[in-house]
Amino acid sequence: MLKNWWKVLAFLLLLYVIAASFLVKLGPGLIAVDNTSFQPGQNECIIVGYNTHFDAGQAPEVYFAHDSTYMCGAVEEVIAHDRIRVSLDLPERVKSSVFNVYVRNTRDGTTMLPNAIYLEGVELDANAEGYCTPPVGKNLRLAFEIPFQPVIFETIRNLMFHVPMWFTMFFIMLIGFISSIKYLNKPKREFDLRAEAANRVGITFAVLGLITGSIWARFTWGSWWVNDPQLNGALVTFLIYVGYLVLRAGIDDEQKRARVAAVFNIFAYVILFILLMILPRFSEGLHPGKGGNPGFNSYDLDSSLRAIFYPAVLGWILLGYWIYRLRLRMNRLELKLYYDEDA
Amino acid sequence: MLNRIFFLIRHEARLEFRQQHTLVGIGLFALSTVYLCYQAFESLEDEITWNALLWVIVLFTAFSAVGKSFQTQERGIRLYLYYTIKPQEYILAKVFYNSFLMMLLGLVAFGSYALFLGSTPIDGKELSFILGLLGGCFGFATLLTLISAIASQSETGIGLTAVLGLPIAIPLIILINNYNKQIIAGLPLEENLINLSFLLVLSIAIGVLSYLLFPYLWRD
Repeated sequence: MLKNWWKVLAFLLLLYVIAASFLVKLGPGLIAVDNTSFQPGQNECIIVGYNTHFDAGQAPEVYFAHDSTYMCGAVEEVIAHDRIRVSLDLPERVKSSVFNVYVRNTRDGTTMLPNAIYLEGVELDANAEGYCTPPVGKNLRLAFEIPFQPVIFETIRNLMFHVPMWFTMFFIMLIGFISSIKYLNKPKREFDLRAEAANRVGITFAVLGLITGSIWARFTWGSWWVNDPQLNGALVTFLIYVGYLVLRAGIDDEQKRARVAAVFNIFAYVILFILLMILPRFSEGLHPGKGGNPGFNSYDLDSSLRAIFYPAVLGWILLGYWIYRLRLRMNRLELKLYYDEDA
Repeated sequence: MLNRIFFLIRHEARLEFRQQHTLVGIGLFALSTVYLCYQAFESLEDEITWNALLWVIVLFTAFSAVGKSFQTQERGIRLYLYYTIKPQEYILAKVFYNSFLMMLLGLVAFGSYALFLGSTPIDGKELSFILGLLGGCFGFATLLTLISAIASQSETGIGLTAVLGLPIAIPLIILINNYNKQIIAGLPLEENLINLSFLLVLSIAIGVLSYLLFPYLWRD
């Protein structure tokens, strides 16, 4: 029991991760504004929120903001917990023609919808007036909830599944890569068994990563597959490692198979590293992690998300390692059986 | 070491020219594929199709030219080489020779393609396009040299080169395709070097891996 504490840890972590990522509520946010083009004079629109509590406590305050300049809207009516009617007296001269919408109340803190309204028939003037004083403080909330993100909405929960799949794949295939290097250094059968087991489990996690990614793409980008450097790299990785298994199946001599497979595996891992970790950072695409950023930062991981995401990564990696150990034991037993039958 | 590599390249070239049927065969393959496309399409208005078709032809020419790189060796010659030269020298010679061969075949394929199907999409940008073509051929050659060395170890033979080689050829194709698209769109070469330099980096990485890994394939 104590020897296998990490298996218990993996189980508990994943239990926590699955429960938390499905049960924790999504934080408040704004979804839409029904009237997006404003003209000088009196304008009215309905702001739609998600998981917000506009009807709780004091009436919300509404700001239309560009950079650090604010125009104050007046709340005409609180229709429901997620719906308010707002009016804005728009001057003729403004600083910008695109404004974000901020709604602030005591319960939800500040929620924002970027580029929510477009102004028509206004004059652009850098010294324009007609602004109100900005709200004081950021009004941060302390609550354990999954942060609301535009476009991603509820699918952000997939972060705990999709991303750790690739981490786990990298980790497990790293074991395979090291085993292959060890094999070329010192041809022991054990290293070959390890490399084979690792790559098999790695392929499984790659398939899971592709499936979870595809589902996520469907609900955020609108199609099951998009042309993106990271996705291309992921598919190529999968194909290369299936090729590894095909290569193994084609060689009968055991030592030769181990040697050639080790050579191909080392080659494959380096190529995969270039394709998945280096090239996507210098090219453009939809997938987060572009333009020199590691995939992390662009997720705006906040502290509650981190509290689920980091355990998820650790839990999935431990589970992957566990499966790898089982597969390795299976490989050893198969080999033993094979030689026992011979004898 | 350089002497021996030059000698090996000369040796490969001499072998190839002596058994004329292989080289002529591949040239014929490229030419007839181009003519087949000419008959099927008659004329290509669409730039993207023009570019894609050319690269499909070049890719398959590469597979038939470089893919058999290690298959046609006689046992006697192999043993002789094994005892006289280092595997690193041998793989470098192979990579260089295959690159030259592939560039030559790429130019032949492109020439006949332009002859039959026209070259309107790249008129006035021929030089930068040919630069990309040579870069792509170099990439295919380095990749397929190592892959064919690996595949030749298996009993399944030449089919395996395609199974192992095509997935890794995809990123090369993507980079070349991006480069060509921008060339066709009229972007100047200086602003388009990033794809080409990635192609070179990837090819050189494959070359370095071949250099490091080939000695382990060489023992037999």
